[in-house]
Amino acid sequence: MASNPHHQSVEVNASRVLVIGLPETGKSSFIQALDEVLKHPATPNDLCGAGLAHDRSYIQIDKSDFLAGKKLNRTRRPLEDTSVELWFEHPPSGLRGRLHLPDRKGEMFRDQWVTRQWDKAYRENLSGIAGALVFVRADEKSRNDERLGVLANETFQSGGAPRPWDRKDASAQVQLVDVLQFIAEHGEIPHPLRVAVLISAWDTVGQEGDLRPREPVRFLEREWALLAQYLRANPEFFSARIFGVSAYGGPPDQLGPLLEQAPHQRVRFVDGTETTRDLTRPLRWLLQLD
Amino acid sequence: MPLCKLADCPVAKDGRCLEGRGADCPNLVQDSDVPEVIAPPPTTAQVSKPPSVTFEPLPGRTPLDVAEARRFARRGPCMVVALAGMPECGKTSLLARLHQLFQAGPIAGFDFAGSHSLPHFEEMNWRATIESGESGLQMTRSSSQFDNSFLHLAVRSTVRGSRVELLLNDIAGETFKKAVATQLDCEKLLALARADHLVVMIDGAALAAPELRHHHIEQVGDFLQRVLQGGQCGLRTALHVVISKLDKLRGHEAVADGLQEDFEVRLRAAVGSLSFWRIAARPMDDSLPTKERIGQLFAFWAETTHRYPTAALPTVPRSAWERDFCRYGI
Repeated sequence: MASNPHHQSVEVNASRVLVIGLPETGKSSFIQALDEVLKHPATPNDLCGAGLAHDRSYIQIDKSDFLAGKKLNRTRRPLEDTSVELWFEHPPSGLRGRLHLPDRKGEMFRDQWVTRQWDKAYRENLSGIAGALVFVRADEKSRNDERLGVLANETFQSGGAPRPWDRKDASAQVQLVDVLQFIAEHGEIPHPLRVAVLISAWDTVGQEGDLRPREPVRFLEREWALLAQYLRANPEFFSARIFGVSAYGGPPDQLGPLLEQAPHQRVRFVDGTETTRDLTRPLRWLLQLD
Repeated sequence: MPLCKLADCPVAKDGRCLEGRGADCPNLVQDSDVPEVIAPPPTTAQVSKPPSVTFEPLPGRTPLDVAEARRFARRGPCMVVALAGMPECGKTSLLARLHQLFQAGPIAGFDFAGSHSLPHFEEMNWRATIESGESGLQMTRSSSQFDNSFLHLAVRSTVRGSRVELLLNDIAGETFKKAVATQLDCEKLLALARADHLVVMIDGAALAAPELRHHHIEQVGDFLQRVLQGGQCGLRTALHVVISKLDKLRGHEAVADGLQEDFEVRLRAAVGSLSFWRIAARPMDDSLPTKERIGQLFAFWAETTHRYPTAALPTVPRSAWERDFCRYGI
């Protein structure tokens, strides 16, 4: 054991992954689901837990709600200390380590877009990241609706006075692309940075009458086209993979019979045309364990 | 050491009870008897003292000025596109349409590769969105404040893989009229000298209206005369005459045909290339935007320059890119 360089203490291997997403895009739910899946790996080769981190106070805040299938209450979480640490083991290689996933509030990323400034400490922390998880939602639109055709010349009844331009009302994919541009051009990240785009609320895709593509790559290409193009057109900055994820397995607060299943059993993860329960797949890729 | 209620008792000093009762002495003070020391309430500053945060500025607050534009020109192949025309001729609609098209997918074989002007593109689009609550078609008008500024857009060819930076110079309609009026004002338009493409837009609705048509055609003709006679444009320039609001031109296409023939005769030999386009970026009837035509126009901007011999473009040394703007005295 001692001669195998992979068999090191969990304390030694620390990896930091940046978690990016606008408000309420499924970041915290994913982290909760990941914690459950690490405890209950689906196959012997999946990434699994290697014990409990010394401080799990942040992840404990939402644990009961998540396990009960309830939507997480964002207001309960602290604004500043959002550190999440998970201990993992990679059975095929024997590697054990600590995974740091700071669960920054989506408002922080939105503020970067609106105020055109960022925290120096955040920028300095970018230099050591192993990769990034970028969250978008399958059940939210990526851009504002344009008045075209007959709507262009009609008086549109919006139920109120015209709203003046406010940057926070910009299209979601435009905001997200700009946040990535800041990181690429002003953060000292490793090049290319591995980016796993996680399309959350994937359980909303493919329902009756839904014509959207059922493969995450094609879904992003069509529904979040600006983001897809940006990642593809900047290979010197980003190496991207696209996944679909349903952290609850269905809509929170409406899980119904799904609640009979344990959280790690109802989680769904889509990679290409394959559906699994292995939420650790993007992390294995980010950490270059596959 | 224990404490005693009696002032003279030395128990707190050496453990000896004054009355010799030891640990059973009723005068000894129990823990629960010790008066609680209540800390003063924390001040507001202590309670809400935020961690020290230092903010650093990020780009995109304003369009690029000439110095910033130079930095992009040094990055690699860079096309400068100047858009000019009478007020409300559709320049902003065209730029906003490009932004909308990229949000839906690649344009004419080009992927969106980045932009330092995303807030401005979004602002241009805002009043044409349902979310804005605006009624009818409204567009934000170009401001003369940004006549010598640039919107940035980077694209990558999906076929060749090459990246191109585009700097889009939106000249306000009011400035356009001043430039027609005086050579001095025209010469203040610094980007024209570096422009690979000059896009002159003519309002299709004005062409369809006899009372407006002649004035608009003459103003555009005079503007082109000015920039050519002053040397701001010439054989290095790809000139695009864009007739906008195609939906409003219906029934008056012959006017546009005549304009095109006249400009062919007058301008073809004076510029690097001359192209005519008819577009509808935001049609007001129930038709849809002429996306394909607008895509072709954009591809022309991204692919073509007359400033260098075409064959020599890939071999231009990087050191020369740094002088792109300086070469024309900007």
